[in-house]
Amino acid sequence: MKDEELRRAYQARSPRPAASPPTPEELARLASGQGSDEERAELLDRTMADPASARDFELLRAIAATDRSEARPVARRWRVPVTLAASLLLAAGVYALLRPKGPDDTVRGQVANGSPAQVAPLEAASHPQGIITFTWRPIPRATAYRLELLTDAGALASSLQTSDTLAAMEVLAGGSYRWVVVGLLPDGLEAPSRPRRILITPK
Amino acid sequence: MSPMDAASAALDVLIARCAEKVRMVSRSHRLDPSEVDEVFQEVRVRIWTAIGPGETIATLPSSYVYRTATSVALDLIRRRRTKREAMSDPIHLVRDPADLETGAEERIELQELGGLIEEALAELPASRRGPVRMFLDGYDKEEIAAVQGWTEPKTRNLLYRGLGDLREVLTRRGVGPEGVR
Repeated sequence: MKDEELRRAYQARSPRPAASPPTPEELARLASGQGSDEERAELLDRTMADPASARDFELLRAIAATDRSEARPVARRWRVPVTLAASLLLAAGVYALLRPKGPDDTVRGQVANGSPAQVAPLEAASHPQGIITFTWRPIPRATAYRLELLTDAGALASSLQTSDTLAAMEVLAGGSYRWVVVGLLPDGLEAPSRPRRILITPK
Repeated sequence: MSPMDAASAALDVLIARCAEKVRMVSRSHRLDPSEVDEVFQEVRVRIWTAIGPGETIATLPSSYVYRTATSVALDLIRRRRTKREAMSDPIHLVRDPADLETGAEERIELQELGGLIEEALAELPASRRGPVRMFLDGYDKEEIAAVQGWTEPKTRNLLYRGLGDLREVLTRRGVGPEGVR
């Protein structure tokens, strides 16, 4: 019997009330990875045998897994070709040196002190789908920055982490988005910028 | 925008971001997105009550939000259990409405086969039952590895052996590749 057939049949079984369902505290310990190998295996069996406990566990597991994934350095899921990235960095460097010393082009909002100030794209800028370069000003003590692109509904569309103040992100779907830069500070502190709107237009 | 409005907006962005990530992590499983919303609405209230408006909220670590979310989720689970115990028809005996889409005959056959799998699982070593159950419930190897604290090769190996044991027990009980004989 194939894996998928086993899964279908198992998920269709008539659930039986568990003889000894895990307590909420046990579920929390399991979700956060506490206990020995044997303890976790035994607890996992009791949890997954009882559909109600499995559902409770899923809530705690999802929270713990998200917390863990944010706590460790995030590997870049998306990379630009090296030559393109180098060109963008060079262009940004040249621009920073040669740009006219006029009024600050940063659209500053009501951000908390110490949050990254977004430089470009400007608020409500329109951009054709494809690679977009985002830039912001550094903040003291930040060890890295996380650039997040959110849909209008607040769903995370894409994110990447960098130690630079410039990042290129490929946006393939047209629509209205918001982008946020989160300064990652020592001790796990985070300093998010205010969301800035961007409109992605189909090519 | 007043400082209180700014703090409120900053907290909303932080909580919306955390909630969306939790929803993404559990997207392929049984978690109802409204459950995540319920948890994070309560998280907002608790953080606002504990910290109040101010600059602190803008630099609040997401780990603090997740810790609060865990505490809120535990309270939700406790309340749910109390309610479940008070019900004459336990909630875990109510079938998923999606089951109704399957034909009645096929559904009964699947349920019977599922019952045999449940019995066969009891013959597996305790250390392999949990991960096999997780796999059968639709979790992938990476998620099982994360819960068990195992490496990917160890998970793959133990899962492979666990599923092998399960098939062996099922074959002994007359369930082969074609189903029940």
